[in-house]
Amino acid sequence: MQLIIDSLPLLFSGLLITFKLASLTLILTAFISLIFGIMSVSRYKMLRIISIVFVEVFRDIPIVVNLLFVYFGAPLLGLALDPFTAALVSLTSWGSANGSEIIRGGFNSLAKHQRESAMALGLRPWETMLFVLLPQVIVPVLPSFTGLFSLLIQATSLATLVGASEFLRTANIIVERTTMMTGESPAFAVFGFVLCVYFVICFSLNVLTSKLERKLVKSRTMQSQEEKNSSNLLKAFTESFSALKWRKSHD
Amino acid sequence: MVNSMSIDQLAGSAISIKGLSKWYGDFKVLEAIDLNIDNGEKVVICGPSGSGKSTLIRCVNGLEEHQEGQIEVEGKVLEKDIKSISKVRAEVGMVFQHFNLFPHLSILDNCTLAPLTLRNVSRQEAEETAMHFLEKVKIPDQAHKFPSQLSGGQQQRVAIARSLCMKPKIMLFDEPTSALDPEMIKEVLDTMVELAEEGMTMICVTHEMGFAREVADRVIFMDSGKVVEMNTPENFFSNPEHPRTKLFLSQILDH
Ligand SMILES: Nc1ncnc2c1ncn2[C@@H]1O[C@H](COP(=O)(O)OP(=O)(O)O)[C@@H](O)[C@H]1O
Ligand SMILES: [Mg+2]
Repeated sequence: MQLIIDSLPLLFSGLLITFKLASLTLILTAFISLIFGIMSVSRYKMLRIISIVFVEVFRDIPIVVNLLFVYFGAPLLGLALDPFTAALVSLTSWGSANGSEIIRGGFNSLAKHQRESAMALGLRPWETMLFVLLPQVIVPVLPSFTGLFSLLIQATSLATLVGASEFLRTANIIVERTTMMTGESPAFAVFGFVLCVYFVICFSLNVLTSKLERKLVKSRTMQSQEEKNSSNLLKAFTESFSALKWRKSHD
Repeated sequence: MVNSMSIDQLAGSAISIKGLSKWYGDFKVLEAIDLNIDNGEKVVICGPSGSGKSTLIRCVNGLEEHQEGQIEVEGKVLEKDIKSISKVRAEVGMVFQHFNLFPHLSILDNCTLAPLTLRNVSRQEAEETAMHFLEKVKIPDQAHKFPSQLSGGQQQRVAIARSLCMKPKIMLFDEPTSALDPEMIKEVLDTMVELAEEGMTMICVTHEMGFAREVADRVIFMDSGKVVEMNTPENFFSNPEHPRTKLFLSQILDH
C-alpha cells in the first residue's frame, strides 16, 4: 500500500498519458466513424467503395499487429512516429473501422421510405441526412458505441508494447524496479490497483452513456408512450447490431 | 397566403409526359406513356399490382429516373441533376402508402421541417401554416404528439398536411389508404375529397372506386407498363372499352 502511495506521482503521470491517448482516440474515432459511416450510404459508388475498403482493411487486422506495424514498419517508409502517435493512429483506425460499421448498420436498419419521404418533400440529400436520417441513427447506435469506446480505452494499454509511457507501462516499471531493489515482487498490489482503475473508468463510461441514452429517449417521447418507445429503441439497436453482419450496399 | 393553391387554376398543363419509358435492367416497367394533366385536374390511376402505377408517379417527382421521354412539371422539364429535381419536388407533394412520418419529430416539427429548411419563412410563420393545415385535416390537437402516438389514419392525414405545408401545386397519392384499417379509410378519403374540391391538381393511385367516381375528371387504367384505357369516370365504370379494363373492374368491384 505504502508502495502505491509512494509511486502515485509516477502512476499519475502514466494515467495522464493514458487519458490523453484515450480521449484523443475516442474523439477522432467518433468523428471518423461518422464520416465513413455516412460515406457508406452515399449516392456515390466511389465513396461507398472507399468506405468499405477502409472498414474491411482495418477491422480485420488485430490492433496489436496494426500497432507494431505502424510503429516499426512506418519508419521504413520514412515516416517515423513516436510511440504515442503510433498508438493513436492504430487505435483510431481500428476504432473508426468498427465505428463506421456500427453507423452503417444504424442507417440500414432505418426504413428506406424515411429517406424517400424526405426527398419527396424537396429536402436535398445532405439535408435529408442531417435532419432526418442522422438523428434517427444516433440514439440506437449509442450502446454499441459505448461498447466500442470501452474496448478502445482498454486497448490503450497496448501502447505499452511500443514503449509509450502510459499507465500500464509506469505500473510495470514500478513493479520491476521494486523487485530489483527489494527482491520482493509487488506485482499483485500494483497490477491490482491498475485493474481497479481501468474498471472504474470503463464502468463509469457505461453508466454515464446509458444515463445519457435514457435522457435522449425521454426527451423525444412523452408520458404514456415512454415504454413503447424504449422497446422500439431496443429493437432498433438489435437490428443495427445484426445489420453489422450482413453486407449489402445501400439503395 | 394560405389559399394560394386556388390561384393557379388558369388553364395550362400541370404535368406533361411524352413518350416516357423506363426499364429496371432488362425489364420494361413503363412503355411509351403519354399523359397530359391540366391545372386543377384530378386523375385516378388504377390497375393490377405490378403494372407500373407507382413507378409512373414516382417518375413525376424524380424519385425514379426514366430512360426515355420527357416529363414537364409546371412547364419545367425534369432534369437529372439533384438540384433541379429538389426544386420540382418542393412544388409537388407526395403521399405514400406507408405513412412515412419522421418518428423522431413531433407532428408539428414534421410539418415545419421542410418549409423551415427550404422556404424563407420564420419559425412562427411555419408553425402557423402547419397548424392551419393540421386543422384542415382535423388533428390540430395532436400537434405536439409524436407519430407513434397516432393511429394510422391520423398519421396519414398528418402526412397529407405535411406535404401541404410546402404549398405544392400538385399532389401525388400512391395508394394512400391501402395500408389502413377499413374504419380509417374514410377519414383519409374525406381529406382528399376536400383537397380536390379546393382545386388542387391531383394524381391518385387508388382502388377506391367510390373516390374515383366522386372526384376524378379522368380515370386511367394501366396494365404491364402501358396506359390501356383513359376515360371519364362515367364511361370508365359503366362502359369500359377495353376487355382488360372490364376484367379488372369485375375483379375489384366483386368482393
Ligand atoms: N427497384 C426496382 N427494381 C426492379 N424492379 C422493380 C423495382 N421497383 C418496381 N419494380 C417492378 O416494376 C414493376 C412495377 O412496379 P410498381 O410501379 O411498384 O407497380 P404498381 O405500383 O402498379 O403495383 C413491378 O413488376 C415491380 O416488380
Ligand atoms: Mg404501387
